[in-house]
Amino acid sequence: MSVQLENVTIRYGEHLAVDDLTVTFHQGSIGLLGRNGAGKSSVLKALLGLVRPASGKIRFSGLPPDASAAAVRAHVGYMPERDAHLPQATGFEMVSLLGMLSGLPRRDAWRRAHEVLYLVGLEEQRYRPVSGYSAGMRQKAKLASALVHDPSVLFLDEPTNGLDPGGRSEMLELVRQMSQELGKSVVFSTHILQDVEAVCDSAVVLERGKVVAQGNIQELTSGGERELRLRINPVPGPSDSAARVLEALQASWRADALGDGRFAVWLPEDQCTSSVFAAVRKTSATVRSMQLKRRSLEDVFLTAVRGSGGSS
Amino acid sequence: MSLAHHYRPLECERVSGFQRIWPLARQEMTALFRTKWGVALYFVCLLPSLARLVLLLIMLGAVDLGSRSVAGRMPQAMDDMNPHRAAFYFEGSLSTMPGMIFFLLLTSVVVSRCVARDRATNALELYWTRGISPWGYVFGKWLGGFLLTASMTVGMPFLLWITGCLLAEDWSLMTDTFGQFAIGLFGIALMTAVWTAIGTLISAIAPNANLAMVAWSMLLVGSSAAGFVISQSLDESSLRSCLSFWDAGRVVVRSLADLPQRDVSLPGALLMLGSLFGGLLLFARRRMRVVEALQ
Repeated sequence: MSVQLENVTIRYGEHLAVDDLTVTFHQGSIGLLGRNGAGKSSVLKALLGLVRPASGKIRFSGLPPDASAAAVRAHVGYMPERDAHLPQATGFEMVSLLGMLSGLPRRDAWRRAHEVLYLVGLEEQRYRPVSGYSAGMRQKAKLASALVHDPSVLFLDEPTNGLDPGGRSEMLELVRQMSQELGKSVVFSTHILQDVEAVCDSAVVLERGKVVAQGNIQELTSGGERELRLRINPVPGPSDSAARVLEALQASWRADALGDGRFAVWLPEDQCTSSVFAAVRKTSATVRSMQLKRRSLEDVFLTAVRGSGGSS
Repeated sequence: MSLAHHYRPLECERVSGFQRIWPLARQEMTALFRTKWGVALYFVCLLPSLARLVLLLIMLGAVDLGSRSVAGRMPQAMDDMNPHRAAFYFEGSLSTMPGMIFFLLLTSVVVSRCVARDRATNALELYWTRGISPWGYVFGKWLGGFLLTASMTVGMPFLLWITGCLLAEDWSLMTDTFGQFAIGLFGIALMTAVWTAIGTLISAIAPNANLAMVAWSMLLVGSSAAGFVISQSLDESSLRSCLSFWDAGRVVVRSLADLPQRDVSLPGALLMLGSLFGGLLLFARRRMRVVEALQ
């Protein structure tokens, strides 16, 4: 199932949270990135029908355009960012009750609650009160609650919040499997870019309620300039070889001297490293080592945010 | 572990409407019995009815204390204590002491905390992202609280009456009291519904569960106290039912059951209950807006 937002604007009184947003969440796992207050949670709440957009349209493929919020929620699973649990309830009671509220008959809700709690790894703790769970277990209980009614789209709001490294990698693995093995569309809202790189196929970067970058993660990280780190062997002689090399590099590219014979060169996407080799060789210096740094999602994010006028 | 091997797509018909709300009501109704303190509290709240049951057994001669059929020789002024009168069975639920005190004890723990407690644990975000509306959620919470409270205010009088009918020497107790008792019981059920609705709305407005409990207790006891003091000082007894929503409810039930009352104002009582409920509903509408609850 894909979800399409067309010119969606969300306001909270005077505050403009999302400004004329047009974006499509295709099947697969999509990272919804942005700083705090960028509008990520507002987008999720609008998708769930909790917040009514001031203007624009939200369409779920396979559902009529005028589908009610309840009809939408039957196909959507939501994992809230904040710690949330039902007072006094055990893991099993919480998940089965939320299943029943989603329209599952009692018998199916019970069976399903056992299944999803097993899937997320809470089978041993399902009869313990959720209030006594650790942070990681609570996150898993929320994920089980989001899965209980077998939704085709999952909105996960900061699912790795407050998790230790072990719990975080478990959660990311679950998200990856849900998208790749179960074929669910996962919208993964976070500001932890490494998490998105680890599990998502594509990303949408929001800044001040607008999309400032979007696309396949591989395409996003391979586009633009790449940073090349090189180190040269100093050449004995009257003039400073490092200065000559820097001068030669700066003639063709953006380059910086890092000291001790090391340089950083920013290569455009369409140029290869051999041209840097050739330029260095012309100065009689020899290259000792060279490392091409892959552009990270963080670089993409920072570039997009700076480009939109925001500070990093 | 691979999810693909263990995950089974769900194949079932979805239920709608009340069938979605009922699990919430059932959970609310049974929540008190999850702890031994809750069970103890519930049985403490049944004590007045149990005391009345003992009285009934003595009055009808089931327990022989040497005063068989005391009921037949009671003066009319003691109608409330006569098992051959309908008022005997439900008057206990309407009295200030013990009725209101035990009602307060139960509802301050169950009804007044229901929504506020969910707000404190962010459970509202979990509930409202399901297939029920915020008002469906409030209805479910109210229904659970109402059914639990009604088991005390309506269920126990009904059990007493059935016991009285079975213990009486003939069926005259049943035939004589049925009409008035049924209307009185309906009145109590109605008032329990209104009182618990007021408690639920206070819970929906309050920022946290403890504050909701305090506000509910103060409203119930405070309005009764204010009604008593002001009506005494102004020497205007009818004011009491216009200021206290407990007394207002009692006036409505007694009027429905056609029980004798002096110096009361039925329109004033109805106005009091209506305006309190309406006012709280308006406040709760603002408070239960999804956007505000999720911020």
